Amino acid sequence: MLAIVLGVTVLTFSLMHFTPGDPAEMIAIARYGMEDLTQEGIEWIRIQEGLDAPVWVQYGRWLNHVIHGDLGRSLIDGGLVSKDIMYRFPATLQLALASMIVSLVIAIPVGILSAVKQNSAMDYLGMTGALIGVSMPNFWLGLLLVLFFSVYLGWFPVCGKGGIEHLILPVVTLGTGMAAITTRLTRSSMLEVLRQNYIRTARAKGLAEKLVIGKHAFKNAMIPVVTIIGLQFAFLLEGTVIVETIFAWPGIGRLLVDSIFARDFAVIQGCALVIATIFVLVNLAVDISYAYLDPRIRYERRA
Amino acid sequence: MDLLQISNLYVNFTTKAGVVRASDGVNLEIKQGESLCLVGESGCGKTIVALGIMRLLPQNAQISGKIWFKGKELLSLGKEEMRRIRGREIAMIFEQPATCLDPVFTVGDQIAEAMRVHERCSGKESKEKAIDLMEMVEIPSPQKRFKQYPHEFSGGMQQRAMIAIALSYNPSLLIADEPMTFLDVTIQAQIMELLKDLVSKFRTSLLLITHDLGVAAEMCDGVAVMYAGEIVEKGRVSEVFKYPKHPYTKALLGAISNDGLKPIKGSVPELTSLPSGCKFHPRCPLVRDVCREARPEMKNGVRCHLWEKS
Repeated sequence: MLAIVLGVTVLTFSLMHFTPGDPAEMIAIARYGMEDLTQEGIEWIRIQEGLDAPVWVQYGRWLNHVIHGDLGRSLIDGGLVSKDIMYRFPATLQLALASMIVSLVIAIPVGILSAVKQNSAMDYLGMTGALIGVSMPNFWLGLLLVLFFSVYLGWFPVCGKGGIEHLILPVVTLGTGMAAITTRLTRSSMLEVLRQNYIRTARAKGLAEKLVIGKHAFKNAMIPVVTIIGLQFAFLLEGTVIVETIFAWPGIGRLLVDSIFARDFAVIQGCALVIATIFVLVNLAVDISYAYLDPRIRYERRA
Repeated sequence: MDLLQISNLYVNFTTKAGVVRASDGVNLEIKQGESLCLVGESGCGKTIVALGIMRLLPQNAQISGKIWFKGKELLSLGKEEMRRIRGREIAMIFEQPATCLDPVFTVGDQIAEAMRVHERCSGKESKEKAIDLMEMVEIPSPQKRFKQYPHEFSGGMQQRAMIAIALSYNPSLLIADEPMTFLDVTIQAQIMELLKDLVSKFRTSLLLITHDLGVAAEMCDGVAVMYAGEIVEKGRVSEVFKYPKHPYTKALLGAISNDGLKPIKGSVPELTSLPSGCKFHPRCPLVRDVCREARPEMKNGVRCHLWEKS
């Protein structure tokens, strides 16, 4: 787990190193403006910020600081990276969780109904919706929604963060794509479970159909769905980068994009570290919930 | 009076390969307290008849005929009425008990569940009853076993748990579909003894589906031999097994006779393309011209042209 987080930081560090553009120059422009830019100034920044050392030395220094709980300072404005991230993080969390909830609220009932009423109008409608949702890229859907609901109808603000009305469009953008995948998975998983002998036993016992579906089929069908929800969290973090940029949402994704453009190494590294850590933690949570859902896994661990 | 009376049960499935005639005019009766076994090779439609009684056939099944049970016609009952009969009046146990218990709930919960639903008794009450039932089917240390999951049970124990579920309501009819198949031979004998004891103790009628004639002889009063979706011979076990009339019954009994295995030549016909006339004629050693043309009627407990005259 630690290895994954470490690997991600190494990767971002080296990728940043290979991207074109001299970071010292970019920082100098950001600090002093285009007019006062001198070669000496750039060199001074290079030495001052330790950008002259080989890349692995730079990484080593950074890692040492991180271990001591210091994410460093922004190369541009000198602010604490940890403070920047802590300031932006709640906005991203709000967006991500709201999207997750929206997608699950749509996906699970639609998936189950589609499976139970297989080949009905409901099923076809659900699956067509899911197909559209899957094939629509986030950035495009986001722009369409802005055009229609904000520019044309004027119902919601175009961008920014504020009340619930600011949240709706970005959440719909992120949530629908995810809902599409989860719906399809819930449906196929449910269809698979409904064919099982223990469902026949539950019916043979004389249980009501809602108990057969809602208890026995549901818990079994949720096992693969929970896994995919964990994986989708990665999709969600990636999605927030795009969606936060489109809607000017002041979250971590936007911070990451801005700092990449500014070659602000310290902030990029900080963001990558935080995102990787969240991802790993979510996957851990998925593994734990797995053991709760599936007693066979619990048993294997104990043995 | 008959407890269960099936008349002219037809079950068809329309598939890409054609119409599958899984049950082709089945007539069966089971009296109160009687145990009947339905024997035949795999794929002859035995399970279809059982699931038809329970109304648990897949949705694409086309069913016609009448199934009378205690004065009610099951095929015309509403879903809710049928649900009330399932588990309470007619219970069923299946083959492969490992796949028949829900892997994510404890065995105890699955036994107690039906009682909570049908009798609306409390959690604690149903737990006590479930433990009593587990004791009755001889599951050792039921208190501990109650909290365990199906994968922690052996095959024999799983089938005992299934029997506990089935008998929780003291049903009038128990349908057991190959309950001993997939179990070790020694366990088979134990389960058979247990079923026999419980059925006679509760005076439950039994419809036992099996391809094991030894089990059938041991456990049942009546026998019905099924071949390719129809009943070809029926009667008392003692008579049919001693003096079989139908060539198919003879061949089945001959297959396990003392002088080694004698397989029946050929195989069960595809249910999509059944032979004309008597369905057994392509495999019958005594086949005549009439067998290829006309379908024999059920007369004096046998469906065969050779017996029609006598």
